[in-house]
Amino acid sequence: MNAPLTAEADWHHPLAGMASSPVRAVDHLDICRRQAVGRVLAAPGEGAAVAAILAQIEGVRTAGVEEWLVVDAGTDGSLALDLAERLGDLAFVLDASDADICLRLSGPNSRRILAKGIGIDLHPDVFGIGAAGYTLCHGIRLHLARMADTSFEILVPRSYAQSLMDALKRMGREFDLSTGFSA
Amino acid sequence: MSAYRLTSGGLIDRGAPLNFTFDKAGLSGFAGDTLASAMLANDQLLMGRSFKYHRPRGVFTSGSAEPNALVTTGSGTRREPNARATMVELHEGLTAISQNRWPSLKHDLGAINNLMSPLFSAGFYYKTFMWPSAFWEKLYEPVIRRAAGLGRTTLKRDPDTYEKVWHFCDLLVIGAGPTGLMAALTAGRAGLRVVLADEDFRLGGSFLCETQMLDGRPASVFAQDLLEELSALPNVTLLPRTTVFGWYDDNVFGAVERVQKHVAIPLDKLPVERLWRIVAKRALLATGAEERPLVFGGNDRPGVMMASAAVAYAARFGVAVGRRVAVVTASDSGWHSAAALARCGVQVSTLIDARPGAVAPPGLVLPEGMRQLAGAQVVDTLGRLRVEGLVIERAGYEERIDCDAVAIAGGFNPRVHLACQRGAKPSWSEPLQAFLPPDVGPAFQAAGAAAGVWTLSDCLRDGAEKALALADELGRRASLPDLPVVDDEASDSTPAAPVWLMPGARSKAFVDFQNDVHAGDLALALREGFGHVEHAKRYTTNAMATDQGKLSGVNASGLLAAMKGLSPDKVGITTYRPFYTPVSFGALAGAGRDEEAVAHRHSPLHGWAKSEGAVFVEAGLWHRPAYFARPGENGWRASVEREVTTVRQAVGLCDVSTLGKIELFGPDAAEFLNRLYCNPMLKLPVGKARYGLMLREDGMVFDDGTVSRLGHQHYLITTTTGMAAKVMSHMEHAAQVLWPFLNVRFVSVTEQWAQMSLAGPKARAVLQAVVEDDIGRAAVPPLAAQTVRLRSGVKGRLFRISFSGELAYELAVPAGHGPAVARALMAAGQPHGITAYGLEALNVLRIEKGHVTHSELDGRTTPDDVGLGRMLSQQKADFIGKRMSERYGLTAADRAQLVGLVPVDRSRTMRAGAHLLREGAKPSTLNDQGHVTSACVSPTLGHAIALALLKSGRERLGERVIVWDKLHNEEVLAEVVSPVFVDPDNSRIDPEDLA
Repeated sequence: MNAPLTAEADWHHPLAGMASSPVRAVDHLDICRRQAVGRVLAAPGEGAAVAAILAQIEGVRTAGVEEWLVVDAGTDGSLALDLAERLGDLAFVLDASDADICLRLSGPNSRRILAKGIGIDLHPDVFGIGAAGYTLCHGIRLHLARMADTSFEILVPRSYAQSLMDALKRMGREFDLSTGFSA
Repeated sequence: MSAYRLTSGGLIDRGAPLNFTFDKAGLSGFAGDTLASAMLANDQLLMGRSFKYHRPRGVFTSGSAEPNALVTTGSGTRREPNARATMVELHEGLTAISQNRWPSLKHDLGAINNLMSPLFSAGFYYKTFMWPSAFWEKLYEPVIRRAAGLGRTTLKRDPDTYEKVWHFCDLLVIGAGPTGLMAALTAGRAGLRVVLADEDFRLGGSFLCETQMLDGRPASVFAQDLLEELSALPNVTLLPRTTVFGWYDDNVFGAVERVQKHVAIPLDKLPVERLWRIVAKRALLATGAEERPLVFGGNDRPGVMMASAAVAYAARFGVAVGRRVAVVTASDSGWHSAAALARCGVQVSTLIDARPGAVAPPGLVLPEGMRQLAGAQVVDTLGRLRVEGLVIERAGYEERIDCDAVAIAGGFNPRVHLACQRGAKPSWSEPLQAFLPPDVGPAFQAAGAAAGVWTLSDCLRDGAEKALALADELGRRASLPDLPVVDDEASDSTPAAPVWLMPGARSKAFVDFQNDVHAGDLALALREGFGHVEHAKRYTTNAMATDQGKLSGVNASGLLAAMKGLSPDKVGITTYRPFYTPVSFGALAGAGRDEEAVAHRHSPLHGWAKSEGAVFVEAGLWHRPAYFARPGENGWRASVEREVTTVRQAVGLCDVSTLGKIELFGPDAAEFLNRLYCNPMLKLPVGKARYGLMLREDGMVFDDGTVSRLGHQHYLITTTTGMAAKVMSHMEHAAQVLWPFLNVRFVSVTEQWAQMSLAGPKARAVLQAVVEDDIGRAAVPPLAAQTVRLRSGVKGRLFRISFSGELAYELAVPAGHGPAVARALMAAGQPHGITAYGLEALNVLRIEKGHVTHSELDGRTTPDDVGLGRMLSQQKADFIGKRMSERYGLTAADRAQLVGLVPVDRSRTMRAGAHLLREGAKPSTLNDQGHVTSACVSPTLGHAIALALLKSGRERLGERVIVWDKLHNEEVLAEVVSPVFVDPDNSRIDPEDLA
């Protein structure tokens, strides 16, 4: 039912054409070229069963009540199909690979940079590694996940990508944040 | 010369001289000075002119409560009016100019107001400028505003940047004086996340002006040691130059940090000011106390200032405020200040205590040669631009006292403001003779002088103990730090009753210095029936200036109480609200200005549309193509005409990605939709789409769109662009609150898909060139909703739906593939003369077909009003809006109904918003018959057409009405017709010959 991720050359990134910083700074915002994202909604009453299956999979992020995102670097289009197969009637699975753009912010000042736009407590005791959820940044809804002590993943809706990018650059100016597409 | 720089002492860096100018005169100071201290060191006593009477004024405090020393700093685009010289950190090249004077600060013609002051009593404007009322706005107010005033701002663009930041902590300590530092240390050592904020550029609070020793060390050295330990703790955030200005719900505090206000050229990468939103589990008000002024005749003469300020200038800045200082006091604190001044090397010649029989506090080492006068009242001051003496009265005996500076001490007012900003009122304490902060719960407590604790050692202990208790509440083990011994500390004596007014004033005795309110004004307010503390404030403008009555508020309350013969407890105090001190608009706006004020959204086809020459229009946050200009086209209408005509005659491509798209799953998805929409949904077959109309509970149309059944338990609905988020919340409400028992889940998929509408007689031919699957009339009939495979291998969704009335498809592909697919369709359509078309053409096409949008569905229309009454299912047991739809008012025959209008004179045009009148009726809204909802010039018909809501409109086809546009002063005679102007039989939507 869902479209496979094919024809790489025909696939357009909304930030394509954006110039990368000439030098990579200690605080860096990495723009993922492309990623596969599956959205999993547990069928009513099946939340625990779905969570148990997802616990065995890499790249799972909580995304609401009995709702998850599975992020995978592969772009062969198989992620959503695989998930649907594994979960069967327990959950509804959608391919959300084109819905969001994935950014990765890392560096010693990443928390201070995010504090300039995000109103949630990102102290490791409160929002530890693996914590994730939806929040707002300058009025833009995004999905934030902590990957490491000083590293965060941001999934931003494609239509807002440019606006969020502008905001993040502004927020990182104090720390000479560099930006660029992943290699 | 009177004020001068002491040869030693102070926390200034005498090795770092700084040059600055005041009213273009070159002066110099040192690093560590404020503008006020540096001006005093240059004997520049006169710093401003008062607001109303233009009286000469000098600096009165050494902190943020300053009412007099308001100056304009900077120049050009960085010009900033009303800066308090006491809060401006001196930097090299600082320029400051005085305000509210002409031609100069020394010779101000406005001072004539002072001579005419008997005319300008409180309430003068209200009583005088009453008639004619229209003159108030146009004449009186502008003239009064010009005469009275503050500095002028620049209207040029602010070149600097601002930002906002969130911060979370266990404990916010407001004020970095002795109490705050001990609290921060106690909590910080226990591992709590602590924020210590202080408005001063140097942390330490009253430690910085303290002349007593702690454990044998100077207080400032002791403070420095504490700060060094605090700054080494990773869990402690120190925020100097940061004013906590407001306390809000959920223990969120607003604070503004002046990041780069103290530098000549700010760095680009840093904001000049940063607004902090601090979410604190606990907060401690350690703001200390403000010294209370004494109200006596001529108390505003330059050179008269708070005793604590005189001590601060001497101890912290190494500046003597005079060579013969007189101290006027009504409490023991004046005696302590006199001793402190002497310790710094400032000569105090006289001490006047209003209390009869007052003697020096025991053990205090008094200044050598100081004359002591107890039971004396000051009735006037001498001098013009600076004080030269005092006139005092003692039991009927008048005496002139020579002096060049007057330090006044009327007791202390705890700085309770923040704790009162959410409605609680401070309470008057008889034993302490002061207003104390209210009990606002455990999350926000006061400590130290802010809580009425007066001595240094008690404040240190209070700060530590309260932090200990807070840490304990938060489950952290803390221990009391060692408290230093304060050498030669005076005992905490019980204060005498305050002296609210020294009797026998020979000239104005000021209460509010910034707004020129004197004791007589308050008396007048009371006499004229405005004696309530809030009324008196408005009547006299006491405490209404930019200092918000930090010095005058309590004195006004005390004076009113004394005038009424009551305790201040019975009079109370005016309401404290944010902001504690003024906050710039720049800081409040943060980064949100210009294009960055709101986010914008781009469709996945944005770049493609741009390459096709799109001119964009903002539709909510979206930037959508309005029309696609081609070379040679003269204006938007030419482009729109071409686009509409091409769609009707050949084919056009329109980006409809911005429509909201929501996917639903679950065994009860059909039932859920059936209850959500007013038309039936249960029997929609798999592979089919249907138009759907949602109502609000009140029976009015909420939104419209399509519902497609993609699988047995799998649906996709579309919403209008503008209502996408609202429909989603509406559905969440329905699923969580109305029908939680329905087994359904849904999620927005708007961002996943690029969606294109391909419309026109050649649509199928063009589409077939791109889609691999058969899309013939049999395979994809009207209202089909299917998955298709494109020749490029991409899988998409195809919907056979039409908004234009033409043969049309909507093709959805994963967003990243959108531009390539759009380009492929344009290439395939080139032989047919395909055009991209925008919102304007889309609008014309749908008006021609009589299709409604939110111009018609404006929240006041029912399905029947817009001609969709047949969609209101009579069979369904229930749906949102069913009950209320049956109300009489919603079924009345004279409701406005959707009709079409054509101008009788076909060369005329009509505008949306114009009112409808019966032919011959007087143009008046009293005769209103309805209004035009949408209007355009139809390229298909060659003349203007409009959709309108007209009273009982469907019965009035053929009638003539006047389309009256009062705004443009236009009247057009129009004929009422069917709202479907083009192809009323819908023959074009599925033409057989194209099978």
